[in-house]
Amino acid sequence: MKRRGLALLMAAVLGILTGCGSGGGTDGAAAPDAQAGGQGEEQTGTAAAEEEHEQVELSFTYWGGSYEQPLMEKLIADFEEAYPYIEVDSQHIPSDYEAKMSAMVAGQEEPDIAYIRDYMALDFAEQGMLYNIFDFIDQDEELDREDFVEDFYLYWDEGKSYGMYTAGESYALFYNTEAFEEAGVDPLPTTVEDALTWEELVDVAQRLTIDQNGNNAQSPDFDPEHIRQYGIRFDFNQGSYMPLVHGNGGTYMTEDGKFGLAQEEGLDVIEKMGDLVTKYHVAPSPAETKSLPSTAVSLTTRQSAIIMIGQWVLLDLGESGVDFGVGVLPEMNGEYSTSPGWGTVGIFESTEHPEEAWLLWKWLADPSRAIEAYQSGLWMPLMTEWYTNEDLLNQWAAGNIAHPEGYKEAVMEPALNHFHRHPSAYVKNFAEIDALVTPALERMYLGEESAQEAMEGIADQAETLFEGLYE
Amino acid sequence: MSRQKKENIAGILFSLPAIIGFLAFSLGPMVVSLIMSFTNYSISHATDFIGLGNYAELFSGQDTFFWNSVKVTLLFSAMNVPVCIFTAFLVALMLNSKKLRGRTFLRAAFYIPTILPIVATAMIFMWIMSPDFGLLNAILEVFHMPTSDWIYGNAALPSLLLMTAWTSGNIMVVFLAGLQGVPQELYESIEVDGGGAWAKFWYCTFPHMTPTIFFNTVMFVISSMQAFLPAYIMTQGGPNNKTNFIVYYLYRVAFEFQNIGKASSLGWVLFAMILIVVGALFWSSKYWVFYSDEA
Amino acid sequence: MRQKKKQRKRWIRTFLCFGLAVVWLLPFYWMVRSSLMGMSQIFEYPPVIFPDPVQWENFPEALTRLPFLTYFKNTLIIVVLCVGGILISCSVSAYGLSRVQWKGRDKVFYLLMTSIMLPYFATIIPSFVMWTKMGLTNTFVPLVLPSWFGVGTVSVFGGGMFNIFLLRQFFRTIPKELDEAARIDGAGHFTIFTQIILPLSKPALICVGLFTFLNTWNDFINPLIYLSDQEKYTIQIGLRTFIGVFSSQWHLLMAAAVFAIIPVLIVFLIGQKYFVEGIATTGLKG
Repeated sequence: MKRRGLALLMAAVLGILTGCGSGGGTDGAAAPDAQAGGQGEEQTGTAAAEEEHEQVELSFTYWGGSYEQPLMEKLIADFEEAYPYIEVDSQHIPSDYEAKMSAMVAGQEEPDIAYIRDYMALDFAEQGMLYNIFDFIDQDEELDREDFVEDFYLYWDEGKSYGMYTAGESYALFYNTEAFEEAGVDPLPTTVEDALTWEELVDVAQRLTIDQNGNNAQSPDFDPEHIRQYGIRFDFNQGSYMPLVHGNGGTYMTEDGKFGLAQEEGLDVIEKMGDLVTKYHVAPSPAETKSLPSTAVSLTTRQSAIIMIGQWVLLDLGESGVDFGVGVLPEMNGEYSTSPGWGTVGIFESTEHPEEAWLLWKWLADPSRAIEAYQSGLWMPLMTEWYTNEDLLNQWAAGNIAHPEGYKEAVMEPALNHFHRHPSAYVKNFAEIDALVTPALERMYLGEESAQEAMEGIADQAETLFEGLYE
Repeated sequence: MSRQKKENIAGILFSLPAIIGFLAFSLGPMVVSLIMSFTNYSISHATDFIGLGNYAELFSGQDTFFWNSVKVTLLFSAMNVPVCIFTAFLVALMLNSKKLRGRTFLRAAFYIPTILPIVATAMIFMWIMSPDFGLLNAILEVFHMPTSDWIYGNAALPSLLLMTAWTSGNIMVVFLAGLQGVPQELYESIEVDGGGAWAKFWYCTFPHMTPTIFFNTVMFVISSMQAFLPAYIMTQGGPNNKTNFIVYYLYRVAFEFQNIGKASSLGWVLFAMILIVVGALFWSSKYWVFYSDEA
Repeated sequence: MRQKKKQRKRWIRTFLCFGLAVVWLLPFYWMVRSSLMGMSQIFEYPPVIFPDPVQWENFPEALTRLPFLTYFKNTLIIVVLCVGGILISCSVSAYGLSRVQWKGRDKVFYLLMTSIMLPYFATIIPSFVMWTKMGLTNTFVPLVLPSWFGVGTVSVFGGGMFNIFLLRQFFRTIPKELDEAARIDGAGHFTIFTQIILPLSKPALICVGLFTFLNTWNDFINPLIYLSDQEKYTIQIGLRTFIGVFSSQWHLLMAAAVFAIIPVLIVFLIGQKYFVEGIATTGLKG
């Protein structure tokens, strides 16, 4: 049975049971036509200029918070103004994105172009549901492949890309300047060459971890049960451990299907991160982290002195007005590595208007269309020129509160030169493997198992689930 | 037409809205999901019938999470149902008293938690139960009592009860409505016979409330066994799968793992479990629920 | 002397009730408090009990950042249509499933009950496909029409069969003799239903109306799945927007949430009176 086979079967069953199969379908099909006709009439005045274009309706779905939503709507309004013959039905989906996307695809109502989580997009692309972005770029007269940062493409096969990241992104350390000054700790190094070693990071984190009585984690009176300020905070997903694993020469899954986190390089990082929580008590456990709802806020309120997270946190840090600094990730045993988030913009094969969808894709990828989103720190450009051309670079990465001193060396430069995609973007079946990893890590952080026991305990299962990768 | 025939027609006519609703809106999707549970359906891949494959994967233990999620779901329901029903019943009894001062305020106070949007409630409880910075541990420390990791540690499941009990206002309101139907004359006659508060409760309130208690139990068993939101918003099934309820797992299998066929089979396993429990409750109701229209 | 003792007892009870109510309201207070603070103050430790300074501007900011007026209007339309539909369809059906003696009645009732035993997410895909085939997604129809046939929203507690079952239970506590007396006077089922059963079931009907209002008002997943036009979005979808993947505005979320509960609270305050007055006047004699 083909992919659509079950949809047809469903339709048949539902039709028999409800007694309204195809009859209702034609009604539905008629409705949008009537609607489109109505709009066409309204537009006759303005359409004269673009006679050669038929009126086109494009659907687009995206996620994001209350900052991105108005921003995106403005971006799209500008797009519609620039291309009067295209009307974009944009839909902001604030949560349960995968559920809504699944329902739409099952009902054959998928949008023309959409934000898609990378692991879902990888799957869609392999099944021939997404366009190869290179097909568009190669035909486009204005753009070449090299106009975009090479590392930001996401591939499912040789020469086949299902899109780019929704924006450039990069993991780094961010810290509260006041906390550093009070503890008498030097600012974090901002260049890859000067990166702290792991031992130095532990030392810094210990001096920055303060209990309710004001003792730090190196003091003999330190009370790990009553911590007021944690030295360092990180999340417990691939975002925080994978840059370090990559930087240690490790990987998530090896080409021949070995579970990377149970290998020497991966395990070493997992163990070290576990020690920060259970041995040194300088980082909040998953429990504590979940109850502190926002990473940025915990830095502002000094519940954590350093946070390890993606550069999008600059948006919140900038808005909060806190005095903060940036630094590079610690040095591991391999080449320095940073990573992005995990979302992409894809164009569905089922679209009737691929050319217009491509126009929107380009619009979204062009920093000049929404420069404030880049200035706010939320996004980094996908286009090479915006990094290499000093004038363009200074439009967003300098002279504003969200891009403090050291930003270019600590955040931007690694994204261009030491970039490593997250496994969710290229490991098939990532979601199911990750579902094993998360609870195993929790067992380690709860102190129930050692890092080795936790990782080796799931290695067999992870390797069974492994279906291949394309990096 | 005989009287029974007339009754048959009247009965079906009255029940018609619900019967049509069932046939038109519920039955179709149910049958389709049953069919899907015998396939490897996923929205992106080619679909094949795989017979009992999904069920075999679940029951054989090949699926790492299934048996744990069954255990967690049953354990949670076994705690949640009695705690919430009991709390709500007590509160309703208290609020029903005609002589209570400030009754309107009190009723609103006990109902407000139920009407809050779940995202806000969940957030509040996540802060309150924060191990280091939370209000709950701060209070316990003042009284030199042992603190806890609450929903974030080994006590995750019982800690969720704090929130579910707090939001059990709907059960309370049903009890309150039920209490209005308890005939006042009976109380008076018990008083004449010299019976106290306990006698009033045991010989009058309780028997008249059995249909309401039965109702609340059945409905709350179903909704507890289908618990989803606390895990989805607060714990993401963790820590270490301690709150990985069947429905939450189903959600992940369907929309994260993209395996809707297997998710459907999970749904039908839960369906069977609920059917057995609710069936047993209905069977037992013959022995302890008293209806006035049967007497 | 005895009077005095009773008096004291009453005071103790009132005091206990209020004490318990204060504990019960604490999390709610925490929410109101958070809605009046800057974001970082919310999370300060030790916890800040009173907002300082009080940030009233959170409310206008939360309510203007998104088109909440449109969301409010949409939600109200859906809620009113659902409450009307559920009240009518469920009370009629519940009467047929409890007060009329017909063959197969209980079997039909049990069959209907099975519709809420399958979890919502197991049928969401087929349901969506069904409504798509009828061309009715992106309208309020999938959100409203089922309620006119006793099929409710996602929540088991307050959904369609919940209401039918609830009313059935309540109808069954009304003594049979009342029907029989009316029957002797020549009344048919319709008269018995409207003149005897409904007036006697006011508290239960209030419950049904209240729960349907509450459930539809707080429903998030159905509008999200079925609507694809942002002009048609509801309040709950708006609330979720404050929780982003990269950045969340907790203070604005709390302000919008406080605002969103006001209509439900009003409905509850009006409805709860009937728990006292409803039955007292009917003179139910066993």
